[in-house]
Amino acid sequence: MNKKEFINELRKHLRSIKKQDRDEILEDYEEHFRRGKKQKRKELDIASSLGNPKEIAKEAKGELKGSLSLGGMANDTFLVVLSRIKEYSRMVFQGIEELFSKEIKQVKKEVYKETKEQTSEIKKDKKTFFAKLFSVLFNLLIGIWLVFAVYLTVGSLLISGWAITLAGVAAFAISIAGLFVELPYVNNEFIPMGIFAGISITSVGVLLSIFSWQTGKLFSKLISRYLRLNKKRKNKNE
Amino acid sequence: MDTQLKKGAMELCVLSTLEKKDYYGYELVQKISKILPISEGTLYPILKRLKTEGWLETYLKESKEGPARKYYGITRNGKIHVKKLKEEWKEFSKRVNEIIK
Repeated sequence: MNKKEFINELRKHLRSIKKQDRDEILEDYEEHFRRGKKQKRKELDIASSLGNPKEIAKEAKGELKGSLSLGGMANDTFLVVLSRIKEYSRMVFQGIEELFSKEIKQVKKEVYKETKEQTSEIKKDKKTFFAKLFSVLFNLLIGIWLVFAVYLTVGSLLISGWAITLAGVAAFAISIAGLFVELPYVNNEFIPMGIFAGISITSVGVLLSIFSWQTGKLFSKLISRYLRLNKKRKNKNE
Repeated sequence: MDTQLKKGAMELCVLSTLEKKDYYGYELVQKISKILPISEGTLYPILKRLKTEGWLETYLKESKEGPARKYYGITRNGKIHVKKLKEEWKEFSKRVNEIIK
């Protein structure tokens, strides 16, 4: 295998990855050939010590895994499908050409085998794509609504707490005021009950406010921690 | 040889080599493949990954002969990582040696 054959073979096996990654990888090997030739090595010799392009492509794809972004995945899937369509049509034409030759059976067998292989590969790509898509959708739809619902609950609890506190304070204040001035409905029966109930209701209201406030704070902390984790994971992936 | 083990060994060798001095791709690949039983081509994907992990960095340097060369150097994180790897490797090989002697 000479340089051209090696690079073409490698490119062929790397067609399913992002163009930018592929170009970068291919450039490394082009550079390797250039250096080798400077040292008076033969192309055939350099290629053979580099190893099998198919194996190298497999390694490279393995090393790239886990660093694919959602956009990249969608783009890649599209490109793979496109290149496969091109390939199939080429194969079909080849098949027609050789339809009348002796090798008709052989060709058919090969086309069938490769088609089967490649379809299973595309299926795998699609699977990871949908898994990623699902996780993004979950974050967007369920996650946002979940956050919204919890904040709504905590918020209404807090407002109820304030209202109860206010009612308790008012009951207490009116009862005390009744001791000194004439007020409608505030008689000797109402005043002791008003003072007692006022104090209890105020305590309940204050407790509820504190509880909901703390819950809200805890929840905010959890969300920000989750977001940071997500960001970290995203950065790591990129 | 088990590929996973080989990969770990290659990672360790690449990082330790670059700890001493920076190399350009071809030179580094020649050096490592002389020592380890690997085909030269499998090293480039590993270099790319080590760079993505943030343990290596690359830069272009002019050379007298021909176009600029891509040099590889170790980062601060890489140095911390290789220290950990070395300890793990020593412990691991010590145990294996005890069993096989």
